[in-house]
Amino acid sequence: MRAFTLMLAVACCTGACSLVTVQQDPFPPLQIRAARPEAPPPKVVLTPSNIQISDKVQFELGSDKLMPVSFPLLDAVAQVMIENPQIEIIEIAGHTDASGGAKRNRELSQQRAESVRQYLISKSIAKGRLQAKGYGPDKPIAGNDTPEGREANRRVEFVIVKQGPKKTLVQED
Amino acid sequence: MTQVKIAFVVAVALAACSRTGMGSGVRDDIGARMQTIQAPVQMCYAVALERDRKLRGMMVVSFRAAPGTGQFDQITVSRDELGDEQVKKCVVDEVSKLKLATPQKSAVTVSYPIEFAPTN
Repeated sequence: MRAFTLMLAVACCTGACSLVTVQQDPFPPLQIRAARPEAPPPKVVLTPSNIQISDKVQFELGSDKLMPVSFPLLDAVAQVMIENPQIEIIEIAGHTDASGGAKRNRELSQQRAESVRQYLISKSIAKGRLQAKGYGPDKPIAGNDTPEGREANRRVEFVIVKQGPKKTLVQED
Repeated sequence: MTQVKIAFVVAVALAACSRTGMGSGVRDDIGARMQTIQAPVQMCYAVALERDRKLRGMMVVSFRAAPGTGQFDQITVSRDELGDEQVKKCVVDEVSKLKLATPQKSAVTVSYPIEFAPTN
């Protein structure tokens, strides 16, 4: 028995005791703190007559295919519509500059407005709240004789066509 | 008499086993080393906040202080609430530069929590 006792003690001292877990208090967390950058200006602003966007909706050249860089902007438009159910109908108005044929420009602006509409529908906005209209070069907001003016004229607008009284969102359980 | 012997053996075993725990000196050493990465990790976090203003949470970094050298190695992130690969890489890189001021004969394994939170 004495030999057994001794062996057991030696075994413990030589590592068998690694089977025993010695519980340690956890380390206190290393605190990492940093300031957030200034909040970016809102991408979209709701006014009584329209949803103003801070950037342009970008399409591939000569195409109605939306560029992914515009997805966050359109997501913000969708969010405004979700948060403001009193907006019953908006018109997605596509505009071009006066370069090229007016007929082709009207077609392209209609297709682009429709692309935006489809994107918003994919973001759970009801079809009935969205109208797409391509105006081509018919409603310029700047001269078409300078690159800056043409750039300004190529645009998508979100015009409120119909809205009811302000509704309050009700959170369902 | 047998009971006395068993009690003696248990006491010896516990005394021996207690030596496998992390001594307060090692613990303080690890804490002090980790404090030195606070500033560089803070810079990484500030950059990450520019990408994602909502980034915050706990990260647990696990590593070993190698026997003999005290060099921190076998570094892994065992918990990551932030989910930002660049912050994670930054932490691993910074921890990999550390070594104990007083290396130990045996390896020391550590799980160290790091809490990230914006100040504003």
